[in-house]
Amino acid sequence: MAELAGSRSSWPVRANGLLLVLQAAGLGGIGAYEVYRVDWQQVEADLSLLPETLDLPETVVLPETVEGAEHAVVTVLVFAPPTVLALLAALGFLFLLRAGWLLAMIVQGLSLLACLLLYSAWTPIFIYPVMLYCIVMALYLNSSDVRAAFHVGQRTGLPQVATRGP
Amino acid sequence: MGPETDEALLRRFEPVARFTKGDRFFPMDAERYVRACSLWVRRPGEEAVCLVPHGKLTPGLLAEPRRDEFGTVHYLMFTDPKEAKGLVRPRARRKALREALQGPGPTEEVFKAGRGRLARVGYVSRVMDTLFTLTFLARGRVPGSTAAAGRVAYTRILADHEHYRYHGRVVRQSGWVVLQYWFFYAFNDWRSGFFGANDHEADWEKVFVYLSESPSGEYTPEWTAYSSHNYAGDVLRRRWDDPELEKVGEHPVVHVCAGSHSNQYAPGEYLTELELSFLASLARMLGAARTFWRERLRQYGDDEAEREDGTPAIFRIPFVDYARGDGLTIGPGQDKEWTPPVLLDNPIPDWALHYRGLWGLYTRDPFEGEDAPAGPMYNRDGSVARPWYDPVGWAGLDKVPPPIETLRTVKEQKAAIEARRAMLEAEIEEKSCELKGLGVETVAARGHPHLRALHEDHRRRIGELSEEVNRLRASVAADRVLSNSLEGYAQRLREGDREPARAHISYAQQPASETKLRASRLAEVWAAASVGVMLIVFLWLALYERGEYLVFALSGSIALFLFVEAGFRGRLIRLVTSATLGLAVVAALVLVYEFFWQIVVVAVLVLGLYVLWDNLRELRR
Repeated sequence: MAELAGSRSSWPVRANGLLLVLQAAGLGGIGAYEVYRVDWQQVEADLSLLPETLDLPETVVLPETVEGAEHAVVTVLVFAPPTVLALLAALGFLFLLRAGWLLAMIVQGLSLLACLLLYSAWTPIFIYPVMLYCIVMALYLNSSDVRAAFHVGQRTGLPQVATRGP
Repeated sequence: MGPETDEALLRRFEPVARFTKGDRFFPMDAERYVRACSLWVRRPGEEAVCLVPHGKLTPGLLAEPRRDEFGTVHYLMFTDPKEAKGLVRPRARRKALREALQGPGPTEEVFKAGRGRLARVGYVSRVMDTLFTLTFLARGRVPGSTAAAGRVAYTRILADHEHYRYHGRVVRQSGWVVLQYWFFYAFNDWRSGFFGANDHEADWEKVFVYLSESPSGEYTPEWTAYSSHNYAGDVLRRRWDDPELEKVGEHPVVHVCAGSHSNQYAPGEYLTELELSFLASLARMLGAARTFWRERLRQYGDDEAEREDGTPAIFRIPFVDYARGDGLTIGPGQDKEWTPPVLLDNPIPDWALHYRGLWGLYTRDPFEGEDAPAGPMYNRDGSVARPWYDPVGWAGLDKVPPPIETLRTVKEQKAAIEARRAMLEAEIEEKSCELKGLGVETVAARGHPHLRALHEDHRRRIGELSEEVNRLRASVAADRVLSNSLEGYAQRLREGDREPARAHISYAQQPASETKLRASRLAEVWAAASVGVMLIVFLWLALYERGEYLVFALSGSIALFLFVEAGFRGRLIRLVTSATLGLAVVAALVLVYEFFWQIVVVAVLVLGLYVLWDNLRELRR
């Protein structure tokens, strides 16, 4: 991995690192809160009442507690990868590694994808602030100044030329 | 200037032409070509009629005046359609070539494409390429076996008399002495021979060398311009001391592209892109959106995906021009020497002056790519071509004085500006006096009701005059700065300082880098197969997948294809960025959909608070 050169570009690096730590804390917090608010003993009790088959008919309505537990598990599953990657990206920024930028962009993509999936499923309220945060982060990461600071996308060599035709 | 001097000058600086291994057509004598052709005419709404059959045509006959109705096209036909029909099979082609090769003939070296052109460009361009290939079903085009018949006919001409000839002309224009080297090729087999965009009979290409002449009559080469497709202007031109311009003694080296005969300065493989005119407006809209994205939102934009004019590159069809320079070399002291040239001036040969038709098969291609070109003097529509009547302007040299004239031109220009400035200052003085007079009159008229009309008229005139004086003063200020710049430039010229050799080039064509060409065989196979495989996968999913899984399967397969593609092309960062920004746009639309009124309320609130803050801040000062 290439390291960033020069102290000139350290400000966006530090800001991004801080924002990513904040994002990781937020996503992790949402997952923890979702798990915390489920009464797992009640879920266990409700599950024992259901027939022991994986292929439940569509007419069977799951108890609210089981549905809540299902939502908590899905939320943790979709938010866990971006949370871990956000921490890694923040660490990358801490050690001034250029790959941190790519990881940070992947974090935004995964978070947005997770939010859109949850939106299409049961639309929890917490996805909206996450979406807003990720949109702003994606635009900030892609801004010319930040990309220049991270030397991302800079090309070498001369561009090709176009012709009108033979 | 007499013909002897012309020819001597032409021979002194004649180019060295390096061809690509496997190229089959070389510069030849246009008159010999004419003798091997038939002459045809196609009048509007009628079938083509043969005016002079094969073997009967002479340059004199070609030059005969022909009056005809508007829309009539005269054209030559180099290949005999009957013979071409018999050359559809490779075995028949080989036999015909063997028979034609009685004497020395063109090189028998085989062309190897190397890394395919499709491996060098993205998905959209590859899909566009497929569509472009399909257009040949509807467009007029040179039949498949015509290139083979052309090669047989050309080989016969060479077997009869081996020659490598250019047509030369010396023109004096705007202080320059322009040496024009016109290369005539019997056939352009770019499409059939080198995976290019088009085939057509006959091809006129050119290399110009621009000389300056000293008072003692010494000629110094200053610039060269090589024809390259339909380009014109600065991009064609290289200064004599430009390191990109290779030279053998006083002879500039031209790297001729295989099949297309476009000319390049450096050897290599050039990505040439064809723009489809019917997609131009869509490309312009995308270009405007990209500009907004980059300039207003200050977002990063990928330069590689757009052209010098800011329009996106995705609606272009890629072709590779192979100018490797590893084949036959023609020129002084090279594999083959130039045969003494044919002069195109003093007088202009009749066939060049009077024949305005096409020099090969007329296919009625609406894009004209498959139609033969006209002669050196004319465009396809019969109008006189710019490289002929304005060779200096064609290469963008009309704004550049010859070195010997530069200092004088700078001084003249400075004197002209000074004179203009003096004139403007006198005018300012006059108008200022008038302005002052009007001002005094206006003040005097104030408070006299009967002078109201005069007062208002004066005020209007004062406004107009004031604006004019301001404009004149701005011109004087600009002239003063320009005059100082010219003085500085003159000083630099006196010290022998020259502008950088490549300062005039804003966007130079460059051959593909070694890294790009060293891609794996797997990448080539992927590039060639991916579009077809992707379409088959989509069809299979549409037929066998149903309901909610279809969307997921389609999205998944598209993502997989894009990921593999990005991996091969080393563009994973670009893919991640595009995907994330795409998701951000979708998420933003969701937010707007869900919270439209709240967003409006917040926006108004923020605006109100800002106005309040701004006004309060003003009060505090």
